[in-house]
Amino acid sequence: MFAGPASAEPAEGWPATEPVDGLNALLLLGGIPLLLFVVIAVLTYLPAMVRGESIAPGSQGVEDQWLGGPRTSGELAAPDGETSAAGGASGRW
Amino acid sequence: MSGIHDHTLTGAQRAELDLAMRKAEQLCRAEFSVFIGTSDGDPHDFATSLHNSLVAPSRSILIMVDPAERAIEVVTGGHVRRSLGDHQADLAVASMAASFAEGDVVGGLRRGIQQLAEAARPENTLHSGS
Repeated sequence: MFAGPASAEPAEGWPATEPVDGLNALLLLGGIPLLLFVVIAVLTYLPAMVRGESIAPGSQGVEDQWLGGPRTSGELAAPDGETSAAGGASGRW
Repeated sequence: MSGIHDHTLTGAQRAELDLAMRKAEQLCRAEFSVFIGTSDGDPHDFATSLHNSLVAPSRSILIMVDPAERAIEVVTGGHVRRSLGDHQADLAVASMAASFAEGDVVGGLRRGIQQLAEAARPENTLHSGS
């Protein structure tokens, strides 16, 4: 006894199917998930980028610590202008 | 030793820095303040905003460390600047940067505070006021 592959004709009344183009299938199955990925990434990073925060790995979760700061936590004063008598130095590592 | 990226200070580290700041203040009669965190915008402008928010900015020295930007800013008030020049502040920044590059945040800050205090001692005043 042999088992042959099952085959059946579309039922009567069903619309006739047309062959799917390979490029269309690729765009549908690959393009939409990729588009969703890009949209979600933009929605995730855009607020931080607008605020000017760094989005580099390892730069998240920075908690401010101020030793010897003002006793009351309020709005910060304005930065120095051109006529400031203050000095100091800047550096990076 | 604590890494620069896991820079949240423990209680012992805060106490160590508080002690270093108190000793420095006794030595040079200036107020010390240390900020570790994220600078909002340009690090120098943000540091001067912090400095101007202190109780006595003219007599204060602020050290700001931004681990994310890997930036250090030292801001000296107008009165402190009479004895602590920008070149000496620059040397302290270089010293702290070297320690931070090795991941030693607390040690670098402690030495930087000490170095700034030594330079800001009243006897180092270049122009005596009349």
